[in-house]
Amino acid sequence: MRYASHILLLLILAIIGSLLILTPFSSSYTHGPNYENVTIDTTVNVTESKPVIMSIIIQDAAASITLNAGGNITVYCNVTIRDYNGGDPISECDYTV
Amino acid sequence: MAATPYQNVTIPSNISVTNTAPIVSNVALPSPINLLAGTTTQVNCTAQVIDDNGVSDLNITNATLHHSSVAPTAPDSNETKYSVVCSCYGMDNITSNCTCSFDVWYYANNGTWYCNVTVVDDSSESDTVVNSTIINTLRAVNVTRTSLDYGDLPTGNTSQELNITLINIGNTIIDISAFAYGSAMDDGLAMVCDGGSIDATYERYDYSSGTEYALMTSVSGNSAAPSQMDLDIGKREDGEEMGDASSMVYWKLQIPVGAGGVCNGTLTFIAEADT
Repeated sequence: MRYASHILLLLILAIIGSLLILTPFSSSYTHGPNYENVTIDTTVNVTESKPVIMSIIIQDAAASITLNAGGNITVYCNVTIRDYNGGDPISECDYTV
Repeated sequence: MAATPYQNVTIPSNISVTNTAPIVSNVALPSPINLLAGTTTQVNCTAQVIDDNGVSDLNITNATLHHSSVAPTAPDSNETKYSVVCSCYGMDNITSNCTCSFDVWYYANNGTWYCNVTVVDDSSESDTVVNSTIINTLRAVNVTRTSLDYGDLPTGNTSQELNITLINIGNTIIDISAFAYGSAMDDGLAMVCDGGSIDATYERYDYSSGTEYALMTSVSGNSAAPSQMDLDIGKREDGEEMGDASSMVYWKLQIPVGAGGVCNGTLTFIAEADT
């Protein structure tokens, strides 16, 4: 009989413990979850941007150039230029070797 | 010994109850309440009303929802006090369930609110029951424009000044933080272009119109450390329009060498607690 009453007491304590664990703490004054932010698009059109030399390749990227004795050879420089305003505004291309 | 002669007597008693006062019970409403930014939120306060003389004896059931800073008898205010007539339907001969719906504005004060439900019968007998709830703080911001178009700009030039109006669409004073990005969050850019890009440091703002570009503040390109704008934008008050609770910020952009073509980016504004 005494053993049974102990079991009953343990059962009641277990139930009370479960309720305490499962019951959320009382709601207090908190910030709402709905913080509203806003995003906008930005844009600009860059005109008259400076042309950019993307690459210079000399004589098809040869490791060296062999000259002709007593004569001359033509050395080619291949230059890639990017102009975001199109090809037409590039009026001249100076170079020195 | 002879038995004592006990005699009992019974008389009938009648009383006619002409009217009993109605009763309000089970007043309930959600808690806490999170308001919707920039608009109204429907808050339903429900109650049960009972009249032993029958539901037909109930004359009117009304309710108020008021902030703890004002009395239930205070005049209606979108910030502190709302009044409605409840909608009731009979559950049985003497019981009605009532729903009292309040359209609460986004700038209603945060804190403790009370719903008072009052029922009055045809004999002007009444009952009132109160329950409370919490309206949470709402920090929210909106802007008057959806994009910031700096137009056509040659390399090295600085744009004309553009303004953005930031509107408080919450229920408490706010500051604003902001950051920019090009193609992806935290890329450190203001914009990405057909060719190249524009670093966030080239997009600048100030609280005053006409400020020289060199004196303006660069916007952050880092969402973890956004630019802090100490604007102190108060919340909307009764009698004001939505746009009245606002502050203006002025923007300029300079085009660095290496950027070309059409450039696009994003600016994000965050409502922050006032400091």
